[in-house]
Amino acid sequence: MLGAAVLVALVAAFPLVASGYHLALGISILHFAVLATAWALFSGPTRLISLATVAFFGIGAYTVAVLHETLPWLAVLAAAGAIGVAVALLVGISTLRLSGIYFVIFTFGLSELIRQLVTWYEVNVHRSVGRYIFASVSQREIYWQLLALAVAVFVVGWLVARSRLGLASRVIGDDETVARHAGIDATRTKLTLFAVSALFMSLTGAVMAPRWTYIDPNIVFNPLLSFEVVIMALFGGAGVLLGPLLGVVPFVLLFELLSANFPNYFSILLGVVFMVIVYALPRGVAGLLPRREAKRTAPEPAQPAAQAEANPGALLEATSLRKAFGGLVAVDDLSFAAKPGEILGLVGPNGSGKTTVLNLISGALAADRGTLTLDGQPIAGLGAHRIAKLGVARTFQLVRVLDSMSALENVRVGFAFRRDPLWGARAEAEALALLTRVGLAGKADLPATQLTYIDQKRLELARALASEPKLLLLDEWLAGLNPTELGEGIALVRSLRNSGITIVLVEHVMDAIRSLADRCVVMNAGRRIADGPPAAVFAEREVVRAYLGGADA
Amino acid sequence: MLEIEGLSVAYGKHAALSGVALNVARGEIVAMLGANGAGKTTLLKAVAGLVRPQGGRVSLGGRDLLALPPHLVVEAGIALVPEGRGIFGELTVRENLMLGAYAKRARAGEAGNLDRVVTLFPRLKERFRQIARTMSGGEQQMVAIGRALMSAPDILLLDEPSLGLSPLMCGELFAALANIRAAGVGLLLVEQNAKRSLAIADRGYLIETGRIVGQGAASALAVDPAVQRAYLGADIHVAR
Amino acid sequence: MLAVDILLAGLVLGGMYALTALGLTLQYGVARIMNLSYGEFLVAAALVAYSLYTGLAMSPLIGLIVVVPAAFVLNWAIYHVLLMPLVRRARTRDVLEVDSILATFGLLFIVQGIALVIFGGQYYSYTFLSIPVSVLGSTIAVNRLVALLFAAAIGLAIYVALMRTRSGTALRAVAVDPVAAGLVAIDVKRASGFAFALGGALVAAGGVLVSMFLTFNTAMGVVFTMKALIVVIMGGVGNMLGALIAGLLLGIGETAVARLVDPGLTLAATYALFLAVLLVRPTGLFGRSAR
Repeated sequence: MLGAAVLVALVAAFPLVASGYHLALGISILHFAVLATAWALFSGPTRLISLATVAFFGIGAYTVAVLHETLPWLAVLAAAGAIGVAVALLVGISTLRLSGIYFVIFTFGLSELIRQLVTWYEVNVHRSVGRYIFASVSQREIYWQLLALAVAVFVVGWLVARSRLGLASRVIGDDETVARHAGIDATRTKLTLFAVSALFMSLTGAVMAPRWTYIDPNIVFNPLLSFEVVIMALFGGAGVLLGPLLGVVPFVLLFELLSANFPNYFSILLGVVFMVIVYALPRGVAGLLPRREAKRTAPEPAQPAAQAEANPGALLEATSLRKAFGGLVAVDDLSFAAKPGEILGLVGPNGSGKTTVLNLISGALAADRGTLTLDGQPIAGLGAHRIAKLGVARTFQLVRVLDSMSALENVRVGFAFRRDPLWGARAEAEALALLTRVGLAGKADLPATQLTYIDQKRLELARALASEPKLLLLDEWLAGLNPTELGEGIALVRSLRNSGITIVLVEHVMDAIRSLADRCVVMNAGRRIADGPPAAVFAEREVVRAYLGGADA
Repeated sequence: MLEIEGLSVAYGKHAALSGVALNVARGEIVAMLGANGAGKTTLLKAVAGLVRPQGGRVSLGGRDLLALPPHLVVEAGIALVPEGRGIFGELTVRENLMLGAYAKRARAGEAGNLDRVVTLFPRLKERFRQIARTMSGGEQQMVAIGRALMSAPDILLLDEPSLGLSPLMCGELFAALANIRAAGVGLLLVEQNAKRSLAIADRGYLIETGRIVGQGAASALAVDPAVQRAYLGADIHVAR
Repeated sequence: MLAVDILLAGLVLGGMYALTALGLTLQYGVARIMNLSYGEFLVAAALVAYSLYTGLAMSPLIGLIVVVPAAFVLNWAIYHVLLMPLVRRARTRDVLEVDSILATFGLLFIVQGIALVIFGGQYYSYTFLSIPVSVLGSTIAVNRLVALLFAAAIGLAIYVALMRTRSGTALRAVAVDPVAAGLVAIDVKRASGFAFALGGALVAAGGVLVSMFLTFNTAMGVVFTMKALIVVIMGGVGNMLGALIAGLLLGIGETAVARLVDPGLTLAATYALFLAVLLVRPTGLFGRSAR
């Protein structure tokens, strides 16, 4: 911290000794530093490439051009920031719900769009294109304002990275489905970061505006700026706070060199660097550096999982559920109930609709017809993150761990976004305890991608348990295990039920169902064909026929 | 003759198949039985070139096929009808069948093969211009099998062809499979409907957690309690 | 009559959009490459046509014979040298899309940069068949009509090839389901390369035709790319008829806005239309289809 303060002081003192060309260079570096870091604030963790930097930069600059003679400077800055945020929210609300690639395309043309709109306004309302800026702001003052912005964006970035918002954005970048099922409101997270990023970009544009004495939309909405910022951030590494800075300094110097000596080759060089990034440096220069180990407090002894309150009646109740995909009816008039504290098996031959049922319960899919209630509260149609906050957690048929995080961080995600979230040192201690409980003691710091398949399943379970669910949905969690692992897995699931969690278990491993499930719902072709204790149900002729087939038509 | 020896496939760190060995000759139906997740689909995908095996040998008539890309496996004479049919839903029945004959080995006999397919599945004849995904499950299955037959395969791999079919359609399907065998094609049939596939098969293999745990004549397997246990499980003792 | 004016001019513009969108449909639908440098090749082709006309007095219609095959070869090379490493590296189609966006973004700058070095930043245009003619009570230049005719002819030829030939159907199969395509002995990698090259040839054809009546400079590529992307997405990715209709709609809509509201708002109108369609029907006006 002291080192940073000294550095800032040194940088602030720079204009006292430098002037002219060098000061201009300093301004250039600072303004790209703010833009690139602000860009990485959103696009880094979420992995959504925004090509709209200059749209917000231009908005800031143009606001100054329009308002600088009528309002005091600080009010103008505030206005610039506010308009930038408003536009970001508008754009975000419309496009962030679409798939990532549509977002990129939309931002690709956004600055062109805004340029056209501003031009239209100037021509038709203002009746003249181009404005003069007679602000008496010195180069030094611009420099210091940019420095203040740079400090601010780094502080905000640092705070965000350590906050739940930052964690949520990284989870979204890794796997948005997991994010939603962990209780993260993905749309709101993305919008917030996008707006904050846009705020800094607009303020930068506003601060820089007095450098041009004459502004018109073509000058200020120059798409090249968006691309330069993306290059710098990607080259330096958008995943690390100081990464973009690593890209800014060399590139500003390189651009100076180029525009002095080879102005016509600027574009080609940009293109080549882009391709280098894609092929050789997908995580930027910062991505080549070894990851720093997170500091750790001593683990506290394992705490037993909280007892769920005993509830009379059913915990989960499904009535006449129906879900069709085009012409294929996956779930057809299905009704069943899970009592609190029981293990309900959901079984059936391939294609019978079991995973679809889990998806309907967890909110990954919405039912066409029918009702679902959890503890009496209707949950059909609620988003996955709301259902997660009500106390439902699940694992997935194809295991989903968060690639960019360690095992410990994966589990912390489960703690951070549940109804009463747990954060900080206590969350870490509880996470370590959970890892031990599922059999991953000592593997807390391993990157999730380096775990074995079985361990990844355990990690997914730990993450689900971290949200302290009332209802746990296990989608073929015991599949692919050898007999020893199966025995351990069965014991673990049973211990979970004994601590009060209600479990719905989709399985093909019949040994597991027979020893775990209190009751079984057997599905075939989307319908329920049996409901009862496993031993009884598997002796029913219709069930046997569903699995093994009949010899005759 | 399709010969598989010591085939191993791993998804990341998870061993889906370990040392699997089996063979399928022309003119016979071999059933592959086992519970879900046992590795049946992985085996078919490995033979068809859709997943890369870690080791083993796959050969057809002595020719080594291991790790060939899918389109070359078809050229060699093995056709896969994947789970879920894998037809081109947006194209017509006729286009699907025509594409089936895309392989060079299939061009010469295309007209004859199309005749055979239509004889096998008369229902398709009236539906040549219909968009495939608008057809019923059973009809789509016919398109999928017909398309595979258009490549004039020596060996046909089928992954759960009866999935989602009504009992009546199942009957038609299995009758068609018997006809295909009679025409000299070898079939490796992965089927949920164990009873039915054993009724039509000559031989069978039982697979459990990626390994072959049983094999023999179909009639013997049909009464083997191990098969029932593999699907429906048995009590195991776990300390409570 | 104003309505006929708008309709006619809109059809010409729309025809150009539809032709270029067809090429991008091939590149994105079949090869799964989101090619942000697409418009640069259109501008490059226009510049070459200009050079051929002013330097060798070669009519752009003859120039097509030179430019289109050259563009095919060039794009084929680009796919195999630049894009194949990404294809091989990508674990899923989504990853390939993101990687290809960034890589073609770089390509955008390289192509634009080369064009800048050779031609500079000024505007170019030439007069060819710039004779006004009266159609349905409205006046239109012959070169625009010729462009529309050629675009229609080329588009029709491609459409027929894609629908009726075995290779064309194979391309459509790859767009529908690349895994199943492998199962019918289609070499998906080779088909993708061919589709990419064919798409590049189509956009070059569009560039030559457009050069007959538009004024262009090296910076215009971005706008063309955007419009092509919008048309492809609006029409439903992989849906050729959808791209055609969306292209025509966009051309007519844009012309209408330019004449009736304000020529400075055309891009805003395009974007508004784009957003509206995506919000109401996220899979495009006509959804996924292969016809």
